[in-house]
Amino acid sequence: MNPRTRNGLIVIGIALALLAFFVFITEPEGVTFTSEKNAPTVQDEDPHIGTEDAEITLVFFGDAVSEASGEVAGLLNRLLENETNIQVIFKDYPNNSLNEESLAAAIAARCAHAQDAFWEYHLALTEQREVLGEEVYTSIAESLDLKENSFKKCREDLDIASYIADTIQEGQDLAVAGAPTLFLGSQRISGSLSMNDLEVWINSTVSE
Amino acid sequence: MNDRIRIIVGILLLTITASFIAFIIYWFLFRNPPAIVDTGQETEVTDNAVGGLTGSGESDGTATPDAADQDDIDTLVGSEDVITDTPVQLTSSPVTSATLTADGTVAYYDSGDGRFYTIDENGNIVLLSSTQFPDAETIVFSGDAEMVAIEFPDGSNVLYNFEEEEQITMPSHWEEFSFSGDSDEVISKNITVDPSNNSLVVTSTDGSHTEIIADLGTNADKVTIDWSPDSDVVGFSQTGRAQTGFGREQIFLIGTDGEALGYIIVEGLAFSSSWSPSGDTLLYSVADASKDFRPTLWSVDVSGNDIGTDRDRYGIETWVEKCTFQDESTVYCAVPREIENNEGLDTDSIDSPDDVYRLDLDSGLAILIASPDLDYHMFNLSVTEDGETLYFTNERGYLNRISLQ
Repeated sequence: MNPRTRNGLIVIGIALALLAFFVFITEPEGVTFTSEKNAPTVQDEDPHIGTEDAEITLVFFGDAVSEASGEVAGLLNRLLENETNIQVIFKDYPNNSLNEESLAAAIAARCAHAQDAFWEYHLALTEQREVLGEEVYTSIAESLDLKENSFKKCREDLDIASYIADTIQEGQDLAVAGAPTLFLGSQRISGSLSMNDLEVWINSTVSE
Repeated sequence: MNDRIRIIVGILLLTITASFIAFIIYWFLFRNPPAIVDTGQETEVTDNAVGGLTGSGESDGTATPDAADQDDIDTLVGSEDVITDTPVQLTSSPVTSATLTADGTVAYYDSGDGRFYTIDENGNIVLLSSTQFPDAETIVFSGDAEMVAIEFPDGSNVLYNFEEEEQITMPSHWEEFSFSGDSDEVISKNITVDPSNNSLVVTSTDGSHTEIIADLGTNADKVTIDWSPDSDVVGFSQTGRAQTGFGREQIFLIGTDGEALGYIIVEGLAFSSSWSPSGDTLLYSVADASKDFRPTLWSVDVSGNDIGTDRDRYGIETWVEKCTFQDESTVYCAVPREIENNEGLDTDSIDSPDDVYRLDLDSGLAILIASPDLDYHMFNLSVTEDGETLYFTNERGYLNRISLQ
């Protein structure tokens, strides 16, 4: 072996050994809770409430069986009655661990959405959240004049459950702790809100 | 010797040489520096100096703990009606620093929006403050969860009072925080470029008064700040004299003036601890060499003149980080179903789901009370005052609860 080759091997050997050493002593990074994605994606299938080409789009991760989520749904309904420059996109965020009717209620509302009655159905669910069950799902559908057979068939459609699973996954990818959570762009706020809280948050976020 | 053998021998020699160089670099650049005093030599106790208290072995207390002053409580492990229900998952994504508040809700930091919230047992989320603190790195709540100390990745630090909605900026060279029992003061480590200026600082939470209570020198990483509920002890210094017996360690309790209040002797490595509600008892865990470095759980009296006395070792194998006090003598612990040797050295190494035991510190009786039907790794436990609900975060950081009734 000539001296040049030997020196080259020495340098490479030391470099590799040092590289391996530093890789070995470097501690792995801990769990990070920071989500790479920071804003929800609006899908055509998501229920739209309010003026479709409105200036401000709120994305609402909601759950009909959650008291706080029901309160925020009521606030949004009042807000939409007075504001034409706001639309709300609804994302299902049920938690069946907290309430075993959570997913069933979300599916029923999605099937009402198939007959263009999502928001009315969702608001009716929030008002009866303590007594949810088959009878309530059917009676709300009847009161909204939904086609009975279509509604029933839809509720058995596994694609609906799959779609809701996707929105849950989207919420988890965004590190949404629970419903209600509102997004305006990448800004968000969770939990119970007063109308004043909601308006202040929207105005301050829009002005940023 | 032919060329091939010469090349192989050459490569081996090169590898050994490179490893030697790497070891030298590690030894001089990365290894933790030795303690100022760790030889067991007597040194003068100096006022206002952790360096003095850490090496002296002197105590203000009248009791003198020694290695023999211990009881092995052959913990009676019994069981009653074991709860096997699946825990209720309260959040659908990770939460940070979940802390039980006085009203029974759980306060947490949402890293998604940088705000603080509370959540009740039914999953109702309430905004604790509309003020945002994006990208917080470390969160420490006061005992009543009315205040919080926040450390950011750029080194900046903030104290925030939820009730007053007031924010105080702390110096960026302060690291780690712990609140006094009454939340009127907070202690931190003042870490400077020159280690000789490192110190323990106490500041009032309204920002009106700051005091250096002890010098840290190069022992900053051997001091743990953890203010006791009765506010008598501000932390621990693991720089005691060398002890006979492998893994045995002398740990000093640091008083509010930086003085040594006394010491405890622990029988193992990886010491970590938790105060009882009164601050009279310290529950701690160590990896015991005589138990193949499996985790062992102990309690010791740390009140008044009895500091370091009445040590008890319990039979359940777990870490103190997996335990929470309900009252002065009742502790709930998540206990891994399986533990391997050496796993006591690192809580992250455990890969076994947990059961929940209720431990009576007076009798040593540990009762299995919950064995969830699904596998849960439990961390950050807290139990309501009435003992009816146990909160914990799972391995993914999601907040859960178990009804203990």
